[in-house]
Amino acid sequence: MKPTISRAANLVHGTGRRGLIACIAGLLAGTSMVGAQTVDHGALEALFGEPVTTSVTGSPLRASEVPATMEIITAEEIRRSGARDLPGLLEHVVGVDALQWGRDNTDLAIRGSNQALSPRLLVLVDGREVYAHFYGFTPWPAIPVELAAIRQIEVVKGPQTALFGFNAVSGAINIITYHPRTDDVDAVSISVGSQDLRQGSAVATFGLGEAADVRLSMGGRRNDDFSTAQDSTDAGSRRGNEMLNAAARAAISLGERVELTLAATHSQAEQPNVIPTYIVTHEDFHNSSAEAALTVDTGWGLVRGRLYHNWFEILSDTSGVLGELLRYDNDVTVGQIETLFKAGSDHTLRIAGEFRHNTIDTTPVGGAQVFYDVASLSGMWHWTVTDSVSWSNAVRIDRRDLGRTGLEPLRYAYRNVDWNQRLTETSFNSGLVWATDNAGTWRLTLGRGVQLPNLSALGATLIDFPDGIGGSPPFVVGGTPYIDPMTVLHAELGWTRDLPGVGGRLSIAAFTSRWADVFMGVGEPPPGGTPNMGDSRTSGLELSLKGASERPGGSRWDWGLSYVPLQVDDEFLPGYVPSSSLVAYEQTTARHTVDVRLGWSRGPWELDGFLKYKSRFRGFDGRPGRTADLLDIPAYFKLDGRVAYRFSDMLVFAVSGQNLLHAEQHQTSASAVERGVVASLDFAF
Amino acid sequence: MGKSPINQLAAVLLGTWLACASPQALAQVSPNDLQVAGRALGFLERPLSGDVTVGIVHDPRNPQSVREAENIERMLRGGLTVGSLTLRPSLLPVGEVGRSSVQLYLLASGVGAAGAAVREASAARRVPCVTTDLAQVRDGNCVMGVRSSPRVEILVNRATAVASQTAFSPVFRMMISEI
Repeated sequence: MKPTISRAANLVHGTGRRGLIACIAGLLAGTSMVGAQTVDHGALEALFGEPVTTSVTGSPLRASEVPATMEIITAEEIRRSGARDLPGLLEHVVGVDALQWGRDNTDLAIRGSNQALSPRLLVLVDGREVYAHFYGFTPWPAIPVELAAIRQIEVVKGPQTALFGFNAVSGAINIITYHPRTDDVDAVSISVGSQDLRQGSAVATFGLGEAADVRLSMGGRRNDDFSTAQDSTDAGSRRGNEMLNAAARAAISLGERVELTLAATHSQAEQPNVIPTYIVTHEDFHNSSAEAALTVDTGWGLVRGRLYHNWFEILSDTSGVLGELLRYDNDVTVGQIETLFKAGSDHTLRIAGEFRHNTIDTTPVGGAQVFYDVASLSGMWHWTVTDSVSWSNAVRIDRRDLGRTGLEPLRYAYRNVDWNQRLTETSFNSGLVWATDNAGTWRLTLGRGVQLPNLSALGATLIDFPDGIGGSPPFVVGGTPYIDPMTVLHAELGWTRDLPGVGGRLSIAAFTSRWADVFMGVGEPPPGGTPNMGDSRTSGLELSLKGASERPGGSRWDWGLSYVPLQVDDEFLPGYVPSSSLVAYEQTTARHTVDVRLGWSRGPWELDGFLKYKSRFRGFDGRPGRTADLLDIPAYFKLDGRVAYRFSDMLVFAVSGQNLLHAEQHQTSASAVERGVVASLDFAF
Repeated sequence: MGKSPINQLAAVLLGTWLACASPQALAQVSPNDLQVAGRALGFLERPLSGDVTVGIVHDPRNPQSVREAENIERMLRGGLTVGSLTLRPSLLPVGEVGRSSVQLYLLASGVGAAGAAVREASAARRVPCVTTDLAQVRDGNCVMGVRSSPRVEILVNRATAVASQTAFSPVFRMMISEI
């Protein structure tokens, strides 16, 4: 099935490192060109006429059959969105909430309870976590993936820790890139725009001999942040935003049934960032990863082993407020092994084991390390009960061993031995899908997810106040090892029905989640208390209608309408108040969100608009002297759009805009967002 | 049945009645069905590739079966390319299945019980069989049944697959129906 590949010959014939590439090409030329049958998203999508995903059960399923509420954003939808980054794309997804603090600083959450450095969403690229454990958030600007390299983005709603492990408690976003062996993707994009934006991106795919294929991608951006400031203290954080990333991915056939995948990435980004105290700092991210995975098609099933390492380094300049430069060096090593096979005619099984080592140096007071090891065992069983009914069950047991070594400051309340703790947690997902002939598809899902406290809360942030504050005696602040994990119990009923008469699909989901042992945002617990402040409950609906229609004359309309009402009720313990915990989901979650999408294309022209309405909500005020006040954020409308002219299949010129309705608009408790306009030239060859 | 004229006439009438009464006989094979079949064949453990002669198996005594076979032949005339595979048609009466040298059987509807000959030929010659007549799959006469409308459905008979040494990739098998 290997397609004709246009080779970037200049990458093979050259000097130095290129000579090594030529040598490798020569060695591989003699090996078999038939690789293992991994999940070929492209071929399966072409076969079934709809996207295929493994992000719900770990086994391949058609999007219409998954036992979860899920959105799949296709490459075409990415292109038509006009978004220039992942948050700008994802905020249009039903149920995804965005808090845009700055030009390149956005926090996303699924179904409410969003916050600065939103921790409840797990983001992965081709199954590798890009979650920053030291603060428990997703560093979106530092995710090393170009939009042109993405095949599809899978947004799964509801707890998914039974498949992905800790922290996928409100959902998971798995970014699936094109496979270098089966997808020959080559593209270059150049963009300029407001806020002095200059951005470039390139993706190239080529073969090395008959058995190896490589995809390289690189992107860079330089722009100013919004000029709308809250106060003078955050002005020092505005030094110009920069981003640079590079990624390489190789697929190597080692025989008819064996494929080796190697990947390496590096990304760096520098920009202002709103942190959990809602102050603005200047952050400098440097992330790298290396990965190797071996997939064997045994004939009766797939066996895959995977090993990857993430290096996260972040410099957080809080000198404007805390007077400290915090340096987080966080290393994560993950080893996974899994087998996926079909037993009999009706049962698909997945058994997996995982080991994870997560370690971080303390900062700004150094000399110590906080770490934890997690050993996991999981299983999944998918049963095709009848032609119309299927039932999926997944369970995962994680055992975490926490530890600390090194310096024990004199005034620190804890000793290293306090970190010698072991906990065992169980996650599960159960989903029943009933596809009726004429009455749509019903889904009933239940799940339990687990979120670990982040490493900063567990002691990675260690600050010494030798002179005290405001007359207090000297003290050391450094988190605590005595934090219970947060858990969520989730239930959901969903219904989807195709509407052939209007070329559309109607989806309705009703859900409820109960969160236990919710974490404080920051700060010290009340006397006698812990950083677990009680429970919270989220209930809501997702109503979505979308479709497409072709008109005489060659016009095509794509449209969508969604409404998400949410109700959040916090049941926190006495003594935990928003001003000290910086958590108040009941007040900081908008109750109503409406999204409208309209797209039109005819001939070379494409026009797309995305209108969002978000009802009023509240947000924490990070200004000095007013910390933890809750500000009212009025309801607002937001419009993004794109107009494009396709010169040919290879060349497209587009102008896209974000926040088009107003030059400035308050969408959070931080600086007002500005209107942004970008012109892009996209070349695919 | 015996070979008397009356019995032969009865057989023709019965076969015609069955062909007309069976829901499968009313189904028209569409170009999308053939596309799905071609793509599904790409998931064989040892995929077919290049020019592949497809024997369009039909019952010459059944006019509906003949029409469907001729319709399929017209759609494949000139070759249908799916990935690295190009399907080239050859009309094949069911009585001649055992003597043909095609690389793939495409079983038209209306063959009825005579489809057993396809099962035997598949097993003997290790030639896969695909059809849109799902009853033939359930009866074990053909390995794989496909349908593209209203949604893509694929049905594989595991015992028939084993007998004809037709093996599909594990990933493909996880996504289809098997009996």
